[in-house]
Amino acid sequence: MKKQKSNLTKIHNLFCLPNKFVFYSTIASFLFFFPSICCIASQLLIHGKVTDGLTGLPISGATVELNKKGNSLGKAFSDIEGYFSVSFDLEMTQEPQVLTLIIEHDKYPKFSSNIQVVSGKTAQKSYMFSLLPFDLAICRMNKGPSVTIGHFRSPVTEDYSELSYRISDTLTYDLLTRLQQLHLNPSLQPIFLACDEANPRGAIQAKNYAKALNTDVFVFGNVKKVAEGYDVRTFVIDKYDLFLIPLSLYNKGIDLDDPGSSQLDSKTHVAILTSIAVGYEQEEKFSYCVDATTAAESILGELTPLLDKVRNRCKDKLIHNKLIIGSEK
Amino acid sequence: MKTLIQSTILLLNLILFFSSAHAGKSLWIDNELRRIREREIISRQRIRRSLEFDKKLNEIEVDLNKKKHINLLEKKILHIPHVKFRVAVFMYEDPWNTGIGNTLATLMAREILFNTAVYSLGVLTYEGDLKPDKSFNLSYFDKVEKLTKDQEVTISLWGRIKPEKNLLVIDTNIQISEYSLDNYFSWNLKLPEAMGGKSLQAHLRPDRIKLQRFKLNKELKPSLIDAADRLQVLHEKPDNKSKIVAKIPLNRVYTVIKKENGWIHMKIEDGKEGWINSKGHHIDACNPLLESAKFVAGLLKYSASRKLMNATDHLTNEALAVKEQIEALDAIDSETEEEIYKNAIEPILRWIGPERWTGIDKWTKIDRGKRTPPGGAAFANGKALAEIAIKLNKRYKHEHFAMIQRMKQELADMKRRNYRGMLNEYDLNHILEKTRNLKAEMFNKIVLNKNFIIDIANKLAKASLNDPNNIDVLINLSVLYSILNDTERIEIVNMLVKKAIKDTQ
Repeated sequence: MKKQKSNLTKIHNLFCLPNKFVFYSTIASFLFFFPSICCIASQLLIHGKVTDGLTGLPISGATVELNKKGNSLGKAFSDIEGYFSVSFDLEMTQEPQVLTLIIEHDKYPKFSSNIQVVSGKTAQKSYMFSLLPFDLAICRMNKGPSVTIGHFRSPVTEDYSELSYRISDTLTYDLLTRLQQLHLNPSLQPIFLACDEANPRGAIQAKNYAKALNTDVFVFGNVKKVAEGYDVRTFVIDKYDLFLIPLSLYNKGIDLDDPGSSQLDSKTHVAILTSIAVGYEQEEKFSYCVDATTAAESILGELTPLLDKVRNRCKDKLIHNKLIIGSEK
Repeated sequence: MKTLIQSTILLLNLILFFSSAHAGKSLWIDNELRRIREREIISRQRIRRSLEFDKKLNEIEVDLNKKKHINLLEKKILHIPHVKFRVAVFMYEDPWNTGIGNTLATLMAREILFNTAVYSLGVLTYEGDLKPDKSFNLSYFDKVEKLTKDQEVTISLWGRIKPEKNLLVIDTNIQISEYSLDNYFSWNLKLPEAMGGKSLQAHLRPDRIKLQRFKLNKELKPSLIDAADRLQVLHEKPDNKSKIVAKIPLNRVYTVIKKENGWIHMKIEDGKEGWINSKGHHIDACNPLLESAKFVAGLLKYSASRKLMNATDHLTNEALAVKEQIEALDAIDSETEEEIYKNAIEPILRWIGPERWTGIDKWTKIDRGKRTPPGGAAFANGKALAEIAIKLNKRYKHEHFAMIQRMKQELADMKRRNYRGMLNEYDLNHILEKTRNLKAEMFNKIVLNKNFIIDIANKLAKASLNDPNNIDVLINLSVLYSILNDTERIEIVNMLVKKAIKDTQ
């Protein structure tokens, strides 16, 4: 059978060069050009949508810019439905690359998020960003468990902005000390934040607030003047859909000038701690979840059905179950 | 009490260090935290430098608690050196400016100082906030622990005041330091060599205790302030009408010289001397408030002499649980099974199991509650230790009877050999030595039934599901699994111990 001539042999024949010379020069040129081959720039596209964190409505006209170490790679605007797509060139590398996506709009504070690119592909196919208005953005929690105490509304013109701060202060002491009794690591203890700017118009919006503010529990309420002091209604809602509608509790005849009015009902405490326990569960910190339910139990003096359910869920996921001899049968 | 205080004259040990509520004399929390942080930075730098040969230098998170680095740590400066016990009293948190934060701290500090029956005591008072702050990322119990660990404090007391209508709601909390837990509030049960010879352990829990919620009528605030003020001045003679010779000065150490008829003779560091009325703060309305300080004094006394004071109806069920837990754990090494059951298991069963006592306690009038007991799995752990102690005791007694018979026979033989049937000193020492050895030998040969060990281990494992980071329970499980040669579970439990230590740091 007749052998086919290789391409190298063809080149050799063409230029009348010795075989070895062709071989080594090819290898050398490959090595010389390798770095530029491996770092070839390719064109990528990032898609996404920008919405309002509270209303869920699309934000049009937002500038979306992609940066790498401060250098702009590409820019686009969100359309009337909030969608955007930014095309950009990026040198390909073996290691993952981190880009920064910056969103700007007149009505919202500057928002930035990291985008990871691995082997020429973005980590997600499309990106959803929800922005919060200027006044609320400062209340958004970045990490860790948190409780946000929002505005207490009033039908009259009186101002109760101080109430959310008072409640926040009281809750911090009442709940944090219960958790600290169980020696929870300080870095994983919840943060309590008063955010009087968070003023939801109804139950559904309140749920959006909890999610948009990225807070485990959102507490808000309303105040009504009555003959003997004030009636204060408190609502508690979580971001995990533990409570489908805000849990409502009623305190009648409160003297708002009395600091004692910032004392929330023990059931409110338990609702907050139950939500925090669910937060730990989501983070797969099951022992912390059990501890949070214990702290709640110590406040109320008993386990509510919901608290019991959350505790049992977390107990079932503890590695400690493997210690029970005979449990494997 | 008189004899006790007089003994302190010789030892010059009962020292008071406190400051006025009005002049900011005491230690400032923020200053102290800054100083501790600087010390930690210096210590970390030294440890890093010592690890320079290790290429992983920047990857290592320096752990200041590691024993091998102890010599590299920056030296602590103790505000009250040369005392055996130190108590820290913090100014009560007063977010609504009732103006009695320091008053309460002064009353508590004096009560502890004047009425604690230990020979060597120092009382530190701290001013400042314990609420969360961004600069130190610590609050309340955690912040107190950081501050008091630095000063080797035995017990710390702090609280919070909140006005509520015509009342002042005063919360008092205490926390026992890690050092005290290891040295004064821990118990061990040694197992026979045939079962591995390891020890089972228990530490008092809760160690962070919500001790009291006291509601004081707002009208009593002036008399409370007045009582505290009277504890700030020294009289020339032990008489309220005598001339005031000095006020308690700033940042000075005081020595209690003697106590006579309720008056304390004190000497200031600068040489001034005078008398202070120890009963000055005893207005009837605030007596129940001082039960918290008395409880602390009781715990200190226990640390020194293993004698415990009662919890009273003005305290929480956490105080009652602490008191009963200590009594139960103390009873584990009783002589007989009956005593162990009566004094250890019975008090524990008041808190756990189907027979758990609920509602108002008939003796102390404290509401025991009906929930998981304070301290989580601590009572279950104590019960496990007591049950094992009873079994060991039974087996030991059985063997003991045989040993007594043998020793009786040996004694009779000795008497027969000796002149006029008398025993000499050599023979007696020989018998005593032999008895001791035989007792130890007998104990070390005991092996408890495997099913019994499995039953105890399972009870502890189930208790750990409700209190996953209880290190005593996890370590005891490791010991029990080693008796059962269950290497798989030993591995799991050791991993859980490491995780629990990390999670609770």
